[in-house]
Amino acid sequence: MPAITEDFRRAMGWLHSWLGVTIGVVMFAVFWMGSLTVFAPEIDRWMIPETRIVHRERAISYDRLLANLPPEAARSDYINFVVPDARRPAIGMFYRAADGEFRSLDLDPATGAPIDATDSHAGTGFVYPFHLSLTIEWRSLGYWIVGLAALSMLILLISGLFVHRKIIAEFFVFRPKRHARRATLDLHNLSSLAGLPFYFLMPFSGLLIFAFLYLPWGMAEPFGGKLKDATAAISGEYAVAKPAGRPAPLASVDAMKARAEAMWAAAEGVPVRTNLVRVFNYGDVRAAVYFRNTFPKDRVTLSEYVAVFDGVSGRVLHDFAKPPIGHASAWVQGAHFVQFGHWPLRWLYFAGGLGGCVMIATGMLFWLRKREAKLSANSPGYRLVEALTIAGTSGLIAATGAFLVANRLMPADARFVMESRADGEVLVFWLVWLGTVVHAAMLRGRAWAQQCWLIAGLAIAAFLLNAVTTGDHFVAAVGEGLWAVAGMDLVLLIAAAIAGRSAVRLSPVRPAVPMPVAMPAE
Amino acid sequence: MVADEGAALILWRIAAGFVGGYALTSGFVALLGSVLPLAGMARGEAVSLAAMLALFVYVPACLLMFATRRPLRDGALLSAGAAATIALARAI
Repeated sequence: MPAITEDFRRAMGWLHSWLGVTIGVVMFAVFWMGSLTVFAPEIDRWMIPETRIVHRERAISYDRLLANLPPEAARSDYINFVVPDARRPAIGMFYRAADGEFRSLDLDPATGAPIDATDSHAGTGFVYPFHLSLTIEWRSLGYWIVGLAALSMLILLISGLFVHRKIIAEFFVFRPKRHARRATLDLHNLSSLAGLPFYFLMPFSGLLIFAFLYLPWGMAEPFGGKLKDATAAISGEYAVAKPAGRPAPLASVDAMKARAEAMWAAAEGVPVRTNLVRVFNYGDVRAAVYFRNTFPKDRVTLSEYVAVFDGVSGRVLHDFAKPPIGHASAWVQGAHFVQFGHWPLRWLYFAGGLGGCVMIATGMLFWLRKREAKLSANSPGYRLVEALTIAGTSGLIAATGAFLVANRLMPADARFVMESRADGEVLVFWLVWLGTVVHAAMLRGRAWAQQCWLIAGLAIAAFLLNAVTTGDHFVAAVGEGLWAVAGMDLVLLIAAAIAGRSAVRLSPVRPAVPMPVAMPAE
Repeated sequence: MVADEGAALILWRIAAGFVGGYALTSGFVALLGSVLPLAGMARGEAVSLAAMLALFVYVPACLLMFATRRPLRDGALLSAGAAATIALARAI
């Protein structure tokens, strides 16, 4: 095997530095929002208090829900129900309206009635899409930017392994008392190595999840260029015919659901439950009902089974089970989504995600520290990286805090310049983030401490506002078993403490002013 | 060495690594997804396997383009490899 030459190491070092600085802010944003996405349903409960329902196992009749649909939904060709569980106690429902847009509502699991919920995108509607696409929907541009960041992450991890000569020794070295540059590099190495397998798994599985988007030609070509045929063979998707326009009653969805679960249980040998119920062409002669076990609680693998029934006759149209390689791929994707019922692992994912944030932030900081003593520290390029590093890390966290505070402060009928109250919360997020960029560009290094104070203030404000506006303060939430709310409050308090301590440490030390000494009169 | 080069050569490395690497990866997925069914594997399974292996082609292609001392030659080779895999996949 050829030895790793000094030239090769230098080339990898150059790639590691410049690729990291170029895409670091996006990577940090994806990791930060990804860490929060681990608890997206809990963020939903915190931001949409009306859905803070203690989950109870109960049989839900989808026939009854369909019989009592709101009039607009009853005319929809696409009605989707998400089966409730302990983390999502309300029945999630969304449907395609006449204008082609999707509308979503939460249904009370006990009565099936729509819940008059706070209009908020919350965790599932904003944090999660931001993690996937930065919420830039135009021509899927955001997905491509995040994909490039994930690819860059893999390149950075491998190039980083080549850059460091004594990688094992560096794992055990952290010298916080040494000068800032050394301590930053130590922390970068330590955080990189501590979560290395996790940092490989996340971008790899993330890219695999969107393989159809990122490699459409390559995946469609073996199917004669038909991407729909590829998704049908790999994911079990089923093309439902368009409505015929002739009315026909829908057969019992509950009976079809029971049959789908029985078929899956027979194949698996243990009970398998459906997580998703979808009705196509409701009330039409071409109605179809689709069931999938998207996020099983007792296994890592996603969407192992799909069953589609003819809506009128109730006969099975499509019965799909993942084949072995598809199963392996779905396992890798399931490891990314971490939707299975394993709380300690979920917290470890959260910690791993935050560790990734530390790794990325310290990498960018080290780039700055290495150059701060040189003349280039005043160059436009340096100042740009400096402002983006500050705003891309502490600024993004502050914007997230502002998003939570806006959720608790904004009146129910607030509209601003956006279409809805929920969009108003998102507008606050973007405005605060933009503000932190300007702040960082103007104040440079001093902005760190001030933005940390801002994070601490916003976290405490969110904690207090939840108590004042909902009555579910931390102690009450624990008493009522609202663990999602209590957990969010606890994380806010910890965040405030860490941000406050960081602000104190980052505040510039004022030089001691010498006391004036009276001079003897001459 | 990449650190001592002009902007044009660095841009070539980036283009060959990321764009050429993407074309090579697409070609690889299409080719593997087309060849394995000839050996009896289900087409969906072949494409699933190719998609899982795709990053084992793309990431090394990018790394190669930044590590090589002969970027023009290796970039051209990478592009030729991409063209060949795409052509083969289409021919099958």
